Amino acid sequence: MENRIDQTGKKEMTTRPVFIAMFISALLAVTTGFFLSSDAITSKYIASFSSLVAQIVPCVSVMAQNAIDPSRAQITWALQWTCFPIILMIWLWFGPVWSKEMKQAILKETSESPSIGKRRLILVLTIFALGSLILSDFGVADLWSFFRGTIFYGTPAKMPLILRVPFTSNFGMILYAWFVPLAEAFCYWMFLLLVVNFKSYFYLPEPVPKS
Amino acid sequence: MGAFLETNGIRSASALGVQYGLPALLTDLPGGIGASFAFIDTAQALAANNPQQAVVSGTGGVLSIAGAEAGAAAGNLAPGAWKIPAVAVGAAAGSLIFGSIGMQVGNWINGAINIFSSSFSSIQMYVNYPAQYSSMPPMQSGISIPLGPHN
Repeated sequence: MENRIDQTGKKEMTTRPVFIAMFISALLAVTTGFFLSSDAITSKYIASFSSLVAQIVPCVSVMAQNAIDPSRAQITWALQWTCFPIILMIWLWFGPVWSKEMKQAILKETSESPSIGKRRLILVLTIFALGSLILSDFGVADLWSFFRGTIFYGTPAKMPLILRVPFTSNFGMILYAWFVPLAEAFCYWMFLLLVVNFKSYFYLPEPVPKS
Repeated sequence: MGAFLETNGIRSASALGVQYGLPALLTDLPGGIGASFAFIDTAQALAANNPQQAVVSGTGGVLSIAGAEAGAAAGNLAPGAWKIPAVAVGAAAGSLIFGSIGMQVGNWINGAINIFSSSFSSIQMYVNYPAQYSSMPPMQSGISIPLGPHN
């Protein structure tokens, strides 16, 4: 994997691989969710793979328990969660949060922003929200977590419709199985982006090194 | 709905899509879906004579709209070309997270309503049937001293 090289020889950050990864994971979700044969679902290799992922990722078993077709849902969710580290790596590789280009782009936007105060407030609130999500993933806090499936707590019948969708239809299950690991990868990338470039968002000039 | 509406007034989603392209559409889509879900779900719960579910659905739905807005605003912090995927995924993720918070808030509201209604019904009983309450024997302390065989 290489970043594109522009005419000046500098690396150009591109979002295209992220969209390609999203598309491929969507294709996988549709294939396993709609077209996986019953023989494949009952295959012991696939079943052991999905059980292994379910042991690592609590969300898989949480979502499969209440799904219309639990075996199919477990395989679909397991496969999608396997894509999570890959998608996160792609986000970080093609959108390196620590790069000079990223910092310059942030500085440029921050300096041109008409509402810096509002931007700073959103920044702090987002860091708190994403930080609590990551702490919940690691079991330090007990708040919202995609990884543990705690945003879908309780019985589906008592959930609002937006959270009930993956339990009421196969299409909803596929859609959420595709989106939830993607959202998790985005949350980690965004958190790293904001924390690593915190000073740039606050538009604090770098200290001049002593000569 | 959507961060763009704050500065540009209320416009239809299609007009926003034409005027501002993909980012505006991606910002407004999860909020619009959240709003539709909230409306349909609350109406269904009310039609089924299930006010507690209506409270949960309504609160979850309304907060999911706010979540889409918050997620889009957070995604908007991403620079340059990263804004589009960040806004799209952020708005949808925010919608889910805030929907979940809304479900919790809805449960709290239902709990508060239950406490209030049970207290209210007790007071109502006392107001409606004071004689029945005043004729009741005074409460016993509930403390009894066991008398041993030495007494």
